[in-house]
Amino acid sequence: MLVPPLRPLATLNLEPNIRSRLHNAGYRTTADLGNVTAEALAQELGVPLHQANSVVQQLNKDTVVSISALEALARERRRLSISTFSKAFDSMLGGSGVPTGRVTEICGAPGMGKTQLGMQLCVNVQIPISCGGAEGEAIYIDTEGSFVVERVAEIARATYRSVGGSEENEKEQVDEYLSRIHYFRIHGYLEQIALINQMDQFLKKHPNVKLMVIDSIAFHFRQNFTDMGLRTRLLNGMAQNFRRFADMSDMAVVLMNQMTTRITRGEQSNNNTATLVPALGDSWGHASTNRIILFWQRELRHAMIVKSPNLQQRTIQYAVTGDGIRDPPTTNPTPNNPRKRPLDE
Amino acid sequence: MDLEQVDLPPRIYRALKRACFDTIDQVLHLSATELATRTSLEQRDVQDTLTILSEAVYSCVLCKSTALLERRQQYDRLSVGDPYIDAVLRGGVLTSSITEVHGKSAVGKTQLMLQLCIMAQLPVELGGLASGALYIATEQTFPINRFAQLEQHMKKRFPQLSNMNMSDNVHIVHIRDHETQQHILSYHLATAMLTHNIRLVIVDSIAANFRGDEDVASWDAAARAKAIFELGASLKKLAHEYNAAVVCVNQVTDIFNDTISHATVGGIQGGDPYLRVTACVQKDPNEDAVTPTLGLAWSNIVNTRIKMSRRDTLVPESDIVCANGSETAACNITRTLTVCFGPHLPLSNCKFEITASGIVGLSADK
Repeated sequence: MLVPPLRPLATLNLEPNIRSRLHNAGYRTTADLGNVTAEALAQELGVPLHQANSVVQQLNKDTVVSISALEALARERRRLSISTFSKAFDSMLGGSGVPTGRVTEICGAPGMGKTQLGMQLCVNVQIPISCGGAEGEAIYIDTEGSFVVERVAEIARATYRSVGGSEENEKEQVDEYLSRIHYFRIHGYLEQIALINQMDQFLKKHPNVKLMVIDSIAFHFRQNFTDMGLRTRLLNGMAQNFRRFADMSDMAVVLMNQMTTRITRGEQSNNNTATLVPALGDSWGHASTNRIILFWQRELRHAMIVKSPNLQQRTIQYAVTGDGIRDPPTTNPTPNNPRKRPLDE
Repeated sequence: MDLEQVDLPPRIYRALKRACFDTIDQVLHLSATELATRTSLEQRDVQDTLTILSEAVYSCVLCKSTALLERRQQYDRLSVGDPYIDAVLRGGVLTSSITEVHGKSAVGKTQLMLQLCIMAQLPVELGGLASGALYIATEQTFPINRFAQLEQHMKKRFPQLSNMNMSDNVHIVHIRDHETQQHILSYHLATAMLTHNIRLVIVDSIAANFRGDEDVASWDAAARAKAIFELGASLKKLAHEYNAAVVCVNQVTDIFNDTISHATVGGIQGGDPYLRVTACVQKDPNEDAVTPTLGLAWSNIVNTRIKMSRRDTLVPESDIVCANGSETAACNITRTLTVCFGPHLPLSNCKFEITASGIVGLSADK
């Protein structure tokens, strides 16, 4: 049994006249109002029904709902993942790919394959459940203009073949894949915020969306901002929304981020070191649940998970091929740290 | 955008005005709760306000799921006019996006640009865009003689174009300082593109006004990066709105080994991540290590990056000729065009040479 929290009425968002009427009628806390109906309250205070309604609505909203850890675990186990088609990449993310219900951030310098990864996921999220996919739709928010439909079609064709699709209706199937990717092109940070504001409605209309890719989150927030406080506030607001989408509709949110150079003064004053770090500053690091950095090393593409509550830190290799994201051809797997084992076993 | 321009219910409009809001951005900068406290509107009204204003800024209703399929046709390619180079670029330069071509001086960057100016005017069935071209020159003046020469060769190749006056459709702007550049790109370009049906914008080069302008030279790195991002954003917007190909020529700078060895990724030392970010694969030790200018900030803006390089090798037995001063006869020049990255392109390259009729690709086995 949930006990309604005792909260002073003055802390509710009420119009001044209602607040004073409630006060005059002797109501002080939410408990005083109890289970009053809107009609009764309207009559008693002598206010229009819609105003009384808003009071009652706020009362009901305040009941806190919690779930137990066991329920949460069960929910976690029901969660689907979206495969990247690179076994190493998937296993780095816990075995089966990008998790739904989570915000995953992928950072990388230009040309690392962020967009390729985004396009691959948009296609792979549609793989039928019978073939181990999530059978959902995808939203692609493009802020940089790198989304090339022809390339997506190419990846879709390869995916369709690898899940054992027949050749005769390949073209229709590829078109089908494309039609389930909802694409938005954004030209400014305000548009980005405006789109996110409307996302709730969009998701209501398209309940089967299981993936949202934003490529990239940083681009429009790295210009025109003189007030860095405002930038941080807007980004945090957006991060809240992403977490909410991920949780509510149980979808995977994938944020692409750019890299920037940070110069740190070395011990000797002439020994400055340049470090590549994800853009948008330190506070943005809290926005995502999992954070992955992509980088080149010895002519090979590497991915490293740098932040995660349940995955161990490790580095893997992946490749970008004509068909999309795959494992590199010469597999010399990076040895796992034997002292650790994945937490979700 | 001002609040007056949006169709808000009068009651909400008055409440916003009372709370001293004048523009949409001021309202959208706030969270729903904060807006409720500032305007003392009811929760439902606040939601409505945000929705109405958001729709005014970005109309999401227009993006139906089928739109993506329609977009597929929208991606036009501007052919370079040579089958081998087109093959490397998979059809040519992509419209609606930014392509960068970088390389040392005298490698043929401007030659390629001139060729694109001509190709853009060709009808679609010949690989062109059937449109005009806009050439923003920030370094040297537009080489009009060479352009006329290329035009003649193109007309010989396609006789059906003989009564077309190609120099009429190339609009040339010379810009010498950063402030003018910013002004023209953000205000004048859109109008010019609309009135003259322009679908190819060439900036030759993007770096000159960042590197040469005294005003800019005094800025700190952050201010410079910000200016680069603003420039990139306005170019991207134009490219998308007019479905135009934006091609930027970039200068290069030498890489000093020092900076590379210090570069680390996410705290992991080793490798050459920074080098690979901006420069292409350096398999050939004879090639100089160069990287495009304007750093990582500009690299983040570029959609497709193309590198042009040349290698001069002296022909051994012609040493004496070389000493006499006729160096050209003694040198073998190998030019290469390399794709560094692009969302739709595999990393590949193609050798080419520059002839009187323009840039000519060579097949891989030559």
